[in-house]
Amino acid sequence: MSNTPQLIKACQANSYAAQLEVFNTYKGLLYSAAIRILKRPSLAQDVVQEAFIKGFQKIDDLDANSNLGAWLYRIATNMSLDVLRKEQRFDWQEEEDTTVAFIPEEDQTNELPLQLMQEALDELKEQHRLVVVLYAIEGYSHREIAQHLDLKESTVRNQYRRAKLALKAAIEEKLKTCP
Amino acid sequence: MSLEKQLERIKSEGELQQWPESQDVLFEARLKKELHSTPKKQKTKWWYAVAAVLVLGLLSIPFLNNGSGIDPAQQEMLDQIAAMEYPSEQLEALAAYQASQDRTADENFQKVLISLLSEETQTNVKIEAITALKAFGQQEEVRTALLGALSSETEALVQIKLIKTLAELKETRATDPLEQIVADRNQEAAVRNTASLAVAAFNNQ
Repeated sequence: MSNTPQLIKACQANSYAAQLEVFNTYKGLLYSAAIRILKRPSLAQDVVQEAFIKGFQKIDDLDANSNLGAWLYRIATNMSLDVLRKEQRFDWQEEEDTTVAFIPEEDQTNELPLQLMQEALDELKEQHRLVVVLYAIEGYSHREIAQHLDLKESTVRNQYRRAKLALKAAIEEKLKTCP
Repeated sequence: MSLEKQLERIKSEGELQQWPESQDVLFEARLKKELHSTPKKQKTKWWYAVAAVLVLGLLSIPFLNNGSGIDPAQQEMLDQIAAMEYPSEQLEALAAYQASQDRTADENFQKVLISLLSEETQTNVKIEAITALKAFGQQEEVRTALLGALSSETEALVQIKLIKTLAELKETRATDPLEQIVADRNQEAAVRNTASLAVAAFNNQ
């Protein structure tokens, strides 16, 4: 059963086989997102399992023609953010006092290697890495990030600017040493 | 190309993380439990009456024991593990204790492990608790708890773990409940097969 509207309808009828098919189709996608946000594999695995269960419980709300993968993906990333908020893993006030000026961006013309960008991202301070992942990779707005993490929108904007500067510096450093 | 556009490629072009296969079995068990299990029978007024008597009885124990009550260390550990929202945290807490060299709290640890055999606990945590309990398998309290769990457990993966553990501990009192499992056509085939092997092993002792 690979037809998505049919799959959604079968899940709405609580078909175990259809639910497993959905799980097997999207588990890698959701797990990749959860790991990007949470970093800890065991926690990401729990969140992904919960996201599927929650999705199946709420699937009656979904139209049969909707994008099932995108809908489940958002449930998983939102749940990952809930975990971060509850854990209070970061001290967001640490850099609050100074505002970073907006710097107009110069376009980087060449396409950078993915591995290089990933490595540069992993070198960032954890909360900087997180805002970059949420804003630039997962597509959350500054306001949404602030709401999910219980922060001020200005804090998120400020952190993002800092993160971007640090990321650019890390990328430039890597490009210098690249063969 | 802006930095944001470059970063978007990590999502669209980056390799997906490999989902661990071991988690598939756990998810299937969880899906069955949460969305496909038959509703529990409604508890009767009699059940509540019996429970009330038991609770009152338990509450009076500290007074009978000269007010000694529950060990605060045990209570703290129980509270901490019970408060953990995610099974992974419970598993990490169990693993951390097992990895530590401090064995002074073993008695409390056993009690925590036994409490994790209750029906509310998630499958993977129960399996981890049974693995840890095996180390205390010479103690009567632990053996009794494992036998009790074998009679009440309905999750196939946990049943199989219990059967194997009781067989390894050579707990022959498990023979009767195991024979009942073998004869019960409502049990999953894998559980009945494991029970059958354990009964055969007991008979050969």
